[in-house]
Amino acid sequence: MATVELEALTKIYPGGVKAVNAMSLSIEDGEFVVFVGPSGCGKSTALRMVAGLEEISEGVLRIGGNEMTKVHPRQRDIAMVFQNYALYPHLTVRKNIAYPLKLAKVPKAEMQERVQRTAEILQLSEYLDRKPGALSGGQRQRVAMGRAIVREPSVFLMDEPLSNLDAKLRVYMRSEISRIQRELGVTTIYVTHDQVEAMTMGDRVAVLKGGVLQQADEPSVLYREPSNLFVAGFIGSPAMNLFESSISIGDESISVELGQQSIELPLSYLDERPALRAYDRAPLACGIRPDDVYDAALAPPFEQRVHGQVVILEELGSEIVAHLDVGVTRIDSADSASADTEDDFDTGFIGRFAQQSTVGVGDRIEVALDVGAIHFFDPATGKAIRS
Amino acid sequence: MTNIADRIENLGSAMEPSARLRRLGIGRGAAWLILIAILIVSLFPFWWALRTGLSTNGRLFAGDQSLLPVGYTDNNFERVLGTATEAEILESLGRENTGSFDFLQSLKVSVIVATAITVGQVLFSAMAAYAFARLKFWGRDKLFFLFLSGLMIPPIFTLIPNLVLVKNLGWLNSYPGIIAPFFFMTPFAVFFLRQFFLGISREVEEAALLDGAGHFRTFFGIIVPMSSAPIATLSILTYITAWNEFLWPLVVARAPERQPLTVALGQFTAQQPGTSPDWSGLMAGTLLAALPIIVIFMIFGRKVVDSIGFSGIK
Ligand SMILES: Nc1ncnc2c1ncn2[C@@H]1O[C@H](COP(=O)(O)OP(=O)(O)OP(=O)(O)O)[C@@H](O)[C@H]1O
Ligand SMILES: [Mg+2]
Repeated sequence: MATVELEALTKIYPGGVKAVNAMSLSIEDGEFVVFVGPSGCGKSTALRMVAGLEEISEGVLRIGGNEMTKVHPRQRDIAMVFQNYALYPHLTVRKNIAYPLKLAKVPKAEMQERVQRTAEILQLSEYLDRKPGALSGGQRQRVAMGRAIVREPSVFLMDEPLSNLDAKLRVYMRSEISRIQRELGVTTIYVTHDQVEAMTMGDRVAVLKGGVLQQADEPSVLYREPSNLFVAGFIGSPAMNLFESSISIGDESISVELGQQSIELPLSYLDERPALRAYDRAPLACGIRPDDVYDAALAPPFEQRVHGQVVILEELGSEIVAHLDVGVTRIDSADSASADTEDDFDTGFIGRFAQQSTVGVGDRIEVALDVGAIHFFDPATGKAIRS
Repeated sequence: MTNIADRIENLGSAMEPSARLRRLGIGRGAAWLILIAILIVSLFPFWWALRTGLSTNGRLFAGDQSLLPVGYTDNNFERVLGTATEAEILESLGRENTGSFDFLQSLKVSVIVATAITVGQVLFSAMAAYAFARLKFWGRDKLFFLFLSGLMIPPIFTLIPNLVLVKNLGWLNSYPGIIAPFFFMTPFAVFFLRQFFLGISREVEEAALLDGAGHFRTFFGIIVPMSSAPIATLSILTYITAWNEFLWPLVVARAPERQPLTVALGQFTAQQPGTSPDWSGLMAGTLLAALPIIVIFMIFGRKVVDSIGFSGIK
């Protein structure tokens, strides 16, 4: 059990690719931290630097307070679970799990006992004498977990361990991994590109983009107070509505422009965000989560209204996701992955309505906005305007 | 009810099983014919060797072309093994025994030489292949291609230099002399194994590294067992090649007690003035010499074929 400290960790690959750029993060003992970000953002590289599988180009790494920057992976007391499980195909499950103990010269009796106990935690007892080739994907995944657990290391590292499983099994294994991690209380760094996985599993989530750490916070903070446009657009599904806007501060209220329409914010809003005064009548990026957009027909307790036309409806049973054309200019949060997949019908404004809503495609409707939950960003730097 | 039954029947006739079977049958028949023809062509030399080995030398020279042994006798095999009496020799050979050698001694030489070469070559080739596939060192790929270009040097080019070297080492007529040129890796073996090692997932090795294994442990504990199929293939191919090697032992091993079977069998063709070659003895000896290889192939052949298909070579 140990803390992990990344101090301006940088990786420059031969050829000059700066995969991780001055990443600083302090992970507490027993904490479950998730690295998340789009493909190629440097998550794996950052994790592999902690593991010692990649040399650290610049910066300092500490595990349990001891500097580990140049220490051999074997001496870092870490265990890693790989995306493709990396089991030893010629060894039985029992021997796979026992392998690190065998190398550590753990006495036979203790070794057997620990393997047995690990197998019980992971419900693998009946497969101990099979080889990995005769296991299902989920079982292999658990063997890989077992090989990490059995060592009782101070840190677990996992690089997309669930990405080869089907959706249902993935959800199950998510909770399994969380449960095991809580039971063992081992500091864990978990890499994924799936923000839902990150939000459901992590005590804290570190969002990376282009090798730069954007924000590391508890999931709820990340969701409520994204520190920049990228995080705002990346976290949450459906993504936050982000559009070009401007404000004009009047005597009684602040007027926020939404395309041709506008909404009013109380002046008290400025007390919390005095910095907003500097943006009076200047271009600005505005964001509001689909959850804070309500179908006005259902009489939500919010007064500010905007009109829009329903373009697409996704009826999910428990809720209805409505893509609306309200005449705003959408802002790309630079999350290329989601931009690629949603471009075709991205109207820049999505509402998540309760199932009682009776809106239909093509309807011109009125939506109510919870203005208290509105976000503003500097359009040049992308930073949230919050102070 | 009847409707469903009808439909099932229709389904059956739609596939026309008899027609399909017939077509398949013709294709299969042709394939079998070709296979049988190939089998006969490749097995015929063995049969001819056996037939000649079981014949009496004198009758052979009478020009008997029968497919069966002429003047059947098993004396030739006894002669080769050195268990024949004078009378038996005279009977089967038609004269005094001239070309004879200690079969068991040569068998021993062949086994020692082929085993040593196989162990050495496979071990060193595997280690070199692993280094070329995985270790990071300066000029690795250039070195590998330089090494591969060794494939293009005909073995005959190195015969004389090697001979001079072995002679200067004082290794003529000795096991080290016969084994040395083949003991370390060959470009082909290194290339063959490197291709396979490159295909092994890097994650497995990284897992081993994190589990606490060093390079040697990873290599012998993980990589080698994971590559047992190609390594077995290579071992068998190497063993057969070493067993059949003729030219090199012929030049370095003049002493009869250091001659492997391939060289020693030459005794039978050594003609004495006024006599003809001892064909039946030669064939009997050749068959006996090939026997160990045939046995090895029968046991491991399947694995070799599987692995060659698997690694995509040839
Ligand atoms: N060995 C390498 N040499 C050079 N560049 C590399 C190497 N490995 C990764 N990179 C580059 O470094 C960047 C970060 O790679 P990394 O594998 O850490 O991304 P990732 O966030 O894990 O992505 P993914 O979600 O696709 O796994 C990428 O731009 C990648 O092309
Ligand atoms: Mg990755």
